Amino acid sequence: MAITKIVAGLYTTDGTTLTQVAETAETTSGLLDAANTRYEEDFVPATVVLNPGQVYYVAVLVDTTVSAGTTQGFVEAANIVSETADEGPPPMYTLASQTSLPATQAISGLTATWDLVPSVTIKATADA
Amino acid sequence: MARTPLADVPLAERIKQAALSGGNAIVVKNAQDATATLYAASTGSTTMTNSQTINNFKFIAGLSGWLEPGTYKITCGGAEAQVFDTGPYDEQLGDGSPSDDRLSVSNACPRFSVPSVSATTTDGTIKFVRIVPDKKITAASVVLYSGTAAS
Repeated sequence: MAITKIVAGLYTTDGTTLTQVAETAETTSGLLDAANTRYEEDFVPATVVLNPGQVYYVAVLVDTTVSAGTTQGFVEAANIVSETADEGPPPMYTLASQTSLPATQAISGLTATWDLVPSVTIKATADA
Repeated sequence: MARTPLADVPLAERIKQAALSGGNAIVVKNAQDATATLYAASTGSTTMTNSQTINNFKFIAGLSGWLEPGTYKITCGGAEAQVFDTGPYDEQLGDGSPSDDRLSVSNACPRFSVPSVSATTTDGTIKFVRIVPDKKITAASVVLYSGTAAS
């Protein structure tokens, strides 16, 4: 099987450490097993709370035995000076060589990137 | 389902101006122009008169009353109208949430708003994407879209 794991997690941050507060069920299909498909998974616990104005990080991990493919995403707007670390936090951090999502992760151990960012969106599934 | 206080709804400037110029009452309606039910509290069945006189002091304190989740419209003197949602769902749109296109990296980092189908996925690399919600969410799912398949 080409895709051995797809999992997403939700993390809070205190500026130094990311802490996982929710995680989706692991799947082996639904994303990247076909082109141009929509993937949706509920976070567990189902009662995870996201507060307005607070920074969160959505983690996505794909383990495959072949080339992993691409997701739809966003790039930086063109014809402007690229943003750097001095000007604000990066839109994404990466952590290589993983087989599962960590419960906690020091930001200092992550790689900041202003590269192509996956189109990860959070959809409310219940009324607040 | 939790109700939303009408006081949390920011009033559009045109509504404020219409009310200040004439002191007209504002009637809260749903998008189909049927009079909405305005409750007196966050729970219970006691309702309020769905018509409020607006003055400067009212703007400071906000409008009174509670609404069930849904899409509503504030009208003032029958001339100005403002549509707003009171929950994570836009009932008029059916499936999905009006927050779908907001709780992405673009609302946390506005420069990253140009769509692409080529965000490379690397085996074993976790990508932590920054988001900043603009409303409270008490249960959520994550949505991604594939570009090219793994091969």
